[in-house]
Amino acid sequence: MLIKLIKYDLRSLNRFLIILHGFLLLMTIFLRIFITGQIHLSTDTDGFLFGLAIVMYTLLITGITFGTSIVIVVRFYRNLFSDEGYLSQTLPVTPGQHLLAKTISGSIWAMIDYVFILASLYIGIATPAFMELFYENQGELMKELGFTGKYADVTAGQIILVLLISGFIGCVGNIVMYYASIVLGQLFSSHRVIGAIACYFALSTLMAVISFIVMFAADLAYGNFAIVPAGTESSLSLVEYMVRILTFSLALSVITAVVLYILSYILMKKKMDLN
Amino acid sequence: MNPILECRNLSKKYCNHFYALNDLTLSLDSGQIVGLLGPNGSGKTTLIKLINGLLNPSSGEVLIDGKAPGVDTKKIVSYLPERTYLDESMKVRDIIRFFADFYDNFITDRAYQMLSDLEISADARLRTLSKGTKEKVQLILVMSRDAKLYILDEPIGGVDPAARDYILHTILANYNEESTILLSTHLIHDIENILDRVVFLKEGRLAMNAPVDDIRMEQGRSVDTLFREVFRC
Repeated sequence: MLIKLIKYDLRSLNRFLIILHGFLLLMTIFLRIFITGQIHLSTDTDGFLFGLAIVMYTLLITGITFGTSIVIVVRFYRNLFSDEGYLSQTLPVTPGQHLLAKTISGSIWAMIDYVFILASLYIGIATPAFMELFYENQGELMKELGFTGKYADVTAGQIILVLLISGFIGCVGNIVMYYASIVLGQLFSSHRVIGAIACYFALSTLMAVISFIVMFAADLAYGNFAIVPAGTESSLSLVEYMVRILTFSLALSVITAVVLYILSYILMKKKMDLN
Repeated sequence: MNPILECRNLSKKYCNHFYALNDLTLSLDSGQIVGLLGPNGSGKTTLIKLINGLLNPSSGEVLIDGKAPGVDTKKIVSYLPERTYLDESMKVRDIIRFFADFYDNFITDRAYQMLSDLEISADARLRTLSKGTKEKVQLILVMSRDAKLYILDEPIGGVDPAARDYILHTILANYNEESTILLSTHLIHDIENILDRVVFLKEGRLAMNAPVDDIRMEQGRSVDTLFREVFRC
C-alpha cells in the first residue's frame, strides 16, 4: 500500500514539478548561452553584467524552490485535509503510511529540486571564462577559504558528497516541518490554513532561537572565525567554521525532524477531525 | 455474529461545546437497507464520519463488524460522501484504476458497465463533467465494490429525477443480501419503497429505530408522513 501511495503522490507532484524544473533548465541554458557564456570577465562592464546575471539566477532559483515547496505542501494539505481527504482517509491504509508516503514523495522532489539547482548553478556559472579565472586563482582562493592543513586535500567529489548529504537532510527536515505545521493547523476549529501558516512561522522562530542558543553555547555565534585574528592558533578558518556550523545545523535538523515527525504521526493517528 | 454497525453511548462534541451526537446507542444487523433520517443538524453526517474514522468520538465507541474504525473496517465499508472527493484533474479511467489499486473488492468490469449504461466517457477528465455526472461517477465507484457496509450520504440530493431513478436502481441492482446499506437523505418519499428500516436522529439523539413494515402496519402511516410528524417545526 505504501508503494501505491507513493506512486500516486509522485504522479500528482510530477504534473507541476516537471514543468517547473523544465523551465529552470531552459532558463539556465538560455542564460548560459546568451548571458554568462558571452562574458569574458576582463572588463568592469562584463563584471557588472555577470553580477546582474547572478542576481537573476538567484531570483529564478528562489522562485523555483519556493514553487516546489508550495506544490508539495498543497498536495499534502489537499489530499489529506480538504474534500479529497474523504477519499484518502477512507482508503485501507494507516495514518502512518499516509505520512510516510508523503514524506518520501515530498523529499524525493525536494531533493530533485536541490540537485537541479546545484546543476543549474554549475551550468550557468561555470563558463569557460569563469573556469579559466577560477583555475588561475584556485590556489590563492582555496588558501583564503581555509582549505589548508587537514582540509588541503579535499577533492571536488568530497565537497559534492557533503553538499548532497547536507542537502538531503535539509530537504527531509523542511518537508517534515511543512507537514507538521499543516497537521498542527488542523487542531484549530476553523481557519485551519491560516493556523498552519501561523504554526510554520512559530516553528521556524522556535528553531531559529534554539539554533542561536546552541551556536552561542558552542561559541560559534557572531561569525567567530572573523573576529579572532587570523593566524593565531585559536582562530577558525572559513572552512573550519562552516564545517562546525554545518555539523551543528545538520544535527539540529535531524533531531527536529524526528521530533516533528513523531508529533505529526501521533496527531494524525489520535486527534484528526476532518472538517 | 457481530452486528454490522454498533454504536455504544457514542457522543461527538465540537469545540463550542455543541453536541452533534449525544449518547447514541444503536445496533444494525446485516442484510438491510437502512434509511438514516433526520433534519439538518440532527447528527447524520457526524455519525457517518465517525463510522468512517474521519472524526474521533468524544466518548463512547463505534464498531463496524465488531471492530473500531481502522484499516480492517475501511476494507469492508464503501462510503459515498455528500461532496465531490475525487482529484478533478484525473480522468475517469485513472480513478477506476486508483480504486482497483486500493480496494481488493473493487470490480472494474462492473464500473465500466455502469459507465457505459450512463454514457459517461472513461477518458473524460472529472473537471469537465457536470456536478450531477460527477455524483454519478462517485456512486458508480462506491457501488462497484463488494462491500459489507455501504454508506451513502445524500446520494440523490443533487441529481435530476431521472438520474435519481437510475441511482436507486443501481443501488438495488448491486446490493447483495448479505450486505447493508445505510442511506442518509432528505428525500424520504423517493427512497421510502426501498427501505427495510429507518433510523431517525433528532438533535444528536436516537428518536426511532424501527422496521418500515412495522411503521406501516402498526402505525398505518408512511415513513414520509411519520417523519413530518416527528420533526414538525
